[in-house]
Amino acid sequence: MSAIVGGFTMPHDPLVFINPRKKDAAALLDAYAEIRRRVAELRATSAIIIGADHYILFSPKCLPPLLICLGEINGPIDQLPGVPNKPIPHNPELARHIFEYSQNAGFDLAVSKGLGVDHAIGVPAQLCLPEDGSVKTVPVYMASGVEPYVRLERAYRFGGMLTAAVEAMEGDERVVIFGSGGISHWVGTGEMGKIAPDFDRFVLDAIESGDAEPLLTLTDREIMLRGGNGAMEIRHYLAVMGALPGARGEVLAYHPWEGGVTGLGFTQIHAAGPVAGQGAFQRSTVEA
Amino acid sequence: MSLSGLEQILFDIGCSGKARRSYAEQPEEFLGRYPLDEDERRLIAEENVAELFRCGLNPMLLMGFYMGLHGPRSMPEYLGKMPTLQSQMEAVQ
Repeated sequence: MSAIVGGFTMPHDPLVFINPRKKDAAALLDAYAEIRRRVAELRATSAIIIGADHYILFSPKCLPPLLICLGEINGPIDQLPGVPNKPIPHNPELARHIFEYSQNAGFDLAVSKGLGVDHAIGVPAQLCLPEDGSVKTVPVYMASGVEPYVRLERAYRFGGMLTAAVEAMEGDERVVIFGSGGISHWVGTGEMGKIAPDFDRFVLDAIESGDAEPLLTLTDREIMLRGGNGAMEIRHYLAVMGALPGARGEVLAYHPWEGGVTGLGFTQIHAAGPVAGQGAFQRSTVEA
Repeated sequence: MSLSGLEQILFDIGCSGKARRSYAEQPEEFLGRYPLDEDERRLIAEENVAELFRCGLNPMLLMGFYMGLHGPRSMPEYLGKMPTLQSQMEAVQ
């Protein structure tokens, strides 16, 4: 039987790679590598990666609330040192199955038949999945960067739908689900550069506890005031939590990194059953 | 105020090198392709990102527009012009 075998959340801040202030990013790159190691240890065969468009892919003429790509993908299309734009192995069968399933489950997904993905999908695909291409990607874009935003409750329920879809798929797909996004960050506004560790901790606590309620009761206004417009990406975390309801999370790393503009959190949300993945990795957290 | 028209022009200049070159070479002709009134054309021509933000335009789009025209090193200059999100939210409350 196919199953979701684990969830992860990770940032995709381009400044980690551009690193204009030349700060030490080793702990952050280690955290990406640790997710890659755990994905391999879970013997995953596919990854559903949920990210936001940053007004790079979709123009004001067409802004999908939820979009799944059924065909070939490459990326990230934005130039990031150390993260080359190249083809990303994809799983068209799983993508098509999720699309078909969703239509009978209350979600009408927009479709792309081939996509150059931006850093939201490209960074986790290139850094968190095995380099041998053994884990195939299904990319999902969720409206978290450009309004109108997907509602928080809807994002959570979307995660639940993904689990039901995967479990209804024939075969033995072992699927990990990624919520790609930074925690607190202000993008393009006068506050840009500010990080809100209190808000970051609040979000990470919810992930660790497996209780989505504190996040689901936030209003968009509260998120923006406490965590910035970039923090609207916590929708992606909620989708992962909705895919694994009640599952406890583990913070792998947290850094309000001075080289960037984002509260950078890396977590694993453990699927039920024996906990896989815990090994010798030294958790790294830095409190501001 | 045509938010959709303004957003489209910012998107095009921010994301397309061809659009940027076209705008740089013949700004009046380029702006004339979009359904903008006089005030809107002026806001774009003056690169008045602060006022465009107050009008409700997405700050990611504004940042991309400004960086597209002036390059990534203009980020401090851009941020110096921009109001805070908090002030914007308080203003529209």
